[in-house]
Amino acid sequence: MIKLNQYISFGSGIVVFIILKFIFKSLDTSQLLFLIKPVNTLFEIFTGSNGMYVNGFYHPSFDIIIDRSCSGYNFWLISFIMLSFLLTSHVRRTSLLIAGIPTVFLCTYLLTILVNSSRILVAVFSKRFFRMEGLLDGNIHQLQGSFIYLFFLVLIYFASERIIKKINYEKIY
Amino acid sequence: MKKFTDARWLFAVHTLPVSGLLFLLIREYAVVKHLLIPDDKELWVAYISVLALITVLQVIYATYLVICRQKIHWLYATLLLVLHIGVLWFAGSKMESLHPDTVPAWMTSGSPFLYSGAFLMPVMAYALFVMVLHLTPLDSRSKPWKNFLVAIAVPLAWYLFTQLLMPLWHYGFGSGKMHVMIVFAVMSTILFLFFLIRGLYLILRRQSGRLRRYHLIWEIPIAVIFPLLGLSINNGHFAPMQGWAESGIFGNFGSPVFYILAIANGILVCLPQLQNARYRLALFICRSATFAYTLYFFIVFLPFLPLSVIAIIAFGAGFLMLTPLVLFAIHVQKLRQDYQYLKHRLSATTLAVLAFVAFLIIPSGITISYLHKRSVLHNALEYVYAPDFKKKYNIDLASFGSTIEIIKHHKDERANSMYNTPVPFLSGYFNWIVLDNLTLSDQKINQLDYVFRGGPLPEQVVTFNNPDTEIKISGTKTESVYDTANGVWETWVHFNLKNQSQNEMMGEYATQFQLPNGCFISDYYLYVGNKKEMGLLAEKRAAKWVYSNILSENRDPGILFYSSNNRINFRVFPFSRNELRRTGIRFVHKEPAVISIDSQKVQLGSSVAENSQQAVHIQNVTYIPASVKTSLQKIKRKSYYHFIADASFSAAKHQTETKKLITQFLAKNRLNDEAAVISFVGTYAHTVPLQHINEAFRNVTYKGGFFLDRALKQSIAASYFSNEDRYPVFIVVSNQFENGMILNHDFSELRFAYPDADVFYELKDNGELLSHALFGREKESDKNSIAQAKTVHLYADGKRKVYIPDDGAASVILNSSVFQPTDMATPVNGWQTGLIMQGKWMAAQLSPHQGDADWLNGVKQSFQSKIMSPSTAFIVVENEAQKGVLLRKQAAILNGNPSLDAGEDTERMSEPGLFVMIVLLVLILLARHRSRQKLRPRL
Repeated sequence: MIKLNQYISFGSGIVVFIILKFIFKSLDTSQLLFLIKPVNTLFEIFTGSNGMYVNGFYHPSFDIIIDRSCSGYNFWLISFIMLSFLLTSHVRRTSLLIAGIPTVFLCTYLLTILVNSSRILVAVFSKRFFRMEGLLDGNIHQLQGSFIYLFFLVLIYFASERIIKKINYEKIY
Repeated sequence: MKKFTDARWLFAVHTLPVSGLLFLLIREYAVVKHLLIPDDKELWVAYISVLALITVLQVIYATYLVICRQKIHWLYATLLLVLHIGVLWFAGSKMESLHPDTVPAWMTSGSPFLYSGAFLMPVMAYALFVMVLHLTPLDSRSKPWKNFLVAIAVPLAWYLFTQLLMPLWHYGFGSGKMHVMIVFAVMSTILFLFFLIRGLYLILRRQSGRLRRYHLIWEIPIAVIFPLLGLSINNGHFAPMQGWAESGIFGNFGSPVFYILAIANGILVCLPQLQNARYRLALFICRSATFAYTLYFFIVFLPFLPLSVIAIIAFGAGFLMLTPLVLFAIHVQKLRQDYQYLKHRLSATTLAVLAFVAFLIIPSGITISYLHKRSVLHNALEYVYAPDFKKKYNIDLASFGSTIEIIKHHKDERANSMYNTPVPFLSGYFNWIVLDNLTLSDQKINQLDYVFRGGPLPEQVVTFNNPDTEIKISGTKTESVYDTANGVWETWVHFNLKNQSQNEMMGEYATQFQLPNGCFISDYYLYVGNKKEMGLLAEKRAAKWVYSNILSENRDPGILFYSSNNRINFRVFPFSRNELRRTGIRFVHKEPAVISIDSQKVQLGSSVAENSQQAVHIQNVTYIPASVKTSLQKIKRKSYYHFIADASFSAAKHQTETKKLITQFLAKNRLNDEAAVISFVGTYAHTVPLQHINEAFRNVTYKGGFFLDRALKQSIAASYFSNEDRYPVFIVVSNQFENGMILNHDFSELRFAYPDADVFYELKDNGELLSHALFGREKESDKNSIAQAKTVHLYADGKRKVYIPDDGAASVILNSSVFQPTDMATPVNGWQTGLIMQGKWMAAQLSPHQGDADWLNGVKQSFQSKIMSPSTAFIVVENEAQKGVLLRKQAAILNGNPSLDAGEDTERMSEPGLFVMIVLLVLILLARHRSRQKLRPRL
């Protein structure tokens, strides 16, 4: 049975989501560097490419730009809201909730950087491979990106659910 | 039925449509606000604020109801109904303020009031339905026929009132009494709809006894006869009154598909509910499929529901407006019964998936058909306007024909229907998918029709005219500055334009002038009143569209754009009698030059000391100054015949005469036979060596119209690329030479690629030649022989040779016709960017498809460098509202063409859409949740 305070948590989650989404509209690339820069660094480590900063990190060798639109903000938002909901639906104690939400915020930030980097890497390499074969065109990496994001989101959800249940179980018994 | 009082319905019938309405209103307000007086602005803000407030409060209350698992109370439904009637009333009564005459119709996309009607009607209909549910308890003994009787009594009472009492009314209609009348009209409409819905609800709820036994007696009229009758009346077969739009007052539903679907849907709804699982499953799927049809008409007619009373009073057949509502209720009931029967045999999920998939059949069919039409149309457009001369095209003529017909109908019938579109919602969908929300000009439609279907030859539209020769340049002043850092001149030319006419009519100044090679326009201004308005650099089509619309409103625009090969179109409007207006253009140029505007010579740059003495190479373009050109070798190239034979559909009967003419001409005028070729030109152009003339004539296919433009452009481009020391002499052979379609009057765009001659020839029936100007609009003159080749300069760059005209002026040549993505590292100034853009434009004339793909980059490059290019224009508009419209139109055009994205060099690694991700994630988690619940043992 879901209690009223959980509805309040859900409601607050949705409100936070909407606010964060609106905030995103006003942010430009320089204000999102805390997300873009680590992703770019990981990309540079894996590819050996050197990005030039021109309102985003431009990689001439791949002819791609990592800017505001690929910051990973959406992923961060979804994963944060998803895990917050999971937390509120399994954790009853307010003190744990207060500690849990910032932890989720931080963890999802780190996950976002990893997932977004892997999305860009997969997109770039598949683009190279398929272009060579003449099989792929245009924006198919968006579809690819959806698949990767979904895969990680579901994985994160199941893993987190397992961890939370385990913690709950250990606390009870 | 109690499920209908679930509070979640409020999100679907209120939050969603009203949010959509708010979005449209805010978007509309952003454009028109600059034209509104302060009081009207306040009204707009009040209207939007009230709607937003209602929406927020409504969301809060609905969320509360959902959380507390409470149903919607009938009093709340009544409140919703009254509130929204009030809102609609407000919008209707303040119509003149919300949409005053000062706001031109072309600036908006429709009436805000009609928006409001369409978007608020779902919640009003729903509120009424909830009231019916609450006020009709399950044990109610109310008879359906009594409710229908009351419903019928309403229009009857109004009829009697208007026929008997109104003539006796002698007290006039002041605004107060008018309001009382409107109150009565609204109340009676609600009463009418209430009892109608209640009667219907009672029938559907009981479904017993005689009603069930004789269901076909009332189902057949509602499901089959009334829809067919409604379609026929709407389509003008039984016009109820004079002046009834034949194309349909609610939309053009004249296509046989609507009738076929009406019959199929009617039959499916009426089929008996047999106790046979397979039969019921098939019926359920088929009914789900045609439910899309029922739902479509339900949505189309929903905003007009309140008008049904008036329609019934005005003419009896108005009751047919209620058919979609009643049919919708019956269809839902039938689907529900099928579902109830089948759910014992199949799982709820399977049934839901089957119903959903079946429901998507009609929308998917429409979408697939539109996508195919889009592909065919875009192929046809590419073939005619941006072709790849090396590619073989094969257009699906049947699909192309039907697409062109639909577009023609859309254009013809736009103003006739209540929705301002020929087929409500579907026309918009068609425009969105097939035309990217843009349109095709009549000229283009006719040209396409001619090329592919051999339709009537389109008339050449005169794109340039000077309607007011009395408006002349009364004075010019030039200010030239030499920029030593960049090695270019910048010259402002200020013009005084004076209307010397004594006519009271508003006049327009329009002229054309030729820019020398390597001279570009970098700024423009126009005085509007006493204010100097600087020109906005905008996408050319958007700017021309806005200019022509402002022109019809007598506002103050000025425009400057390329018409062809360095030719500038310059227009200013309006001029009253004796009015003097001031305007100016800034030129950026490499060398001093003289331009001629309206027979006035204007000197750009002043000193000869800064004359350029050497060629300038930038990327693929080379600028050769006049002084350098004179030192180049002069030659005369050899010529060879290139016959262009008419192979259009109507030329088939003249085949023998055409062949004979060519043979006789060759017998008289032998000239380099080995190189001579012949092109057979209908829709497509097919070129073969003249040596195989007999075989070629045997194999020729006569198709479409005589697309002379394609044949000449393709051949000039081929000659340019062949880089040979000979050039083709074009001789057109056709019994209907005047039918040869030329797109833009002449071939000036390709002048740089064909410097050896200025004419092509027509071989007349008597064997004589008649010359026609290739570059310009000089009339034809009789010639009996081929003119001698002109002298050209030979510019050799390694293995490559380029032939440039011997005209004593600077030239721009291409080192390669393929442009790589702009090298970001190369620092370029405005003039250099202008030169690159000119080079790209020249390359686009030789390979139009490449130019089309690079078009967006060209526009961006022009915006960045602030140099006008052939794809942009300088425009001065009067106010912020016009700027807003210009930017909106420009955004639509820039996003419209599907090949635009392909032109972008750098790919963004954009994230997938947020809401798509959320929906997919929620679906996955829900599916998992459900499967877990099923696995859980039931205690």
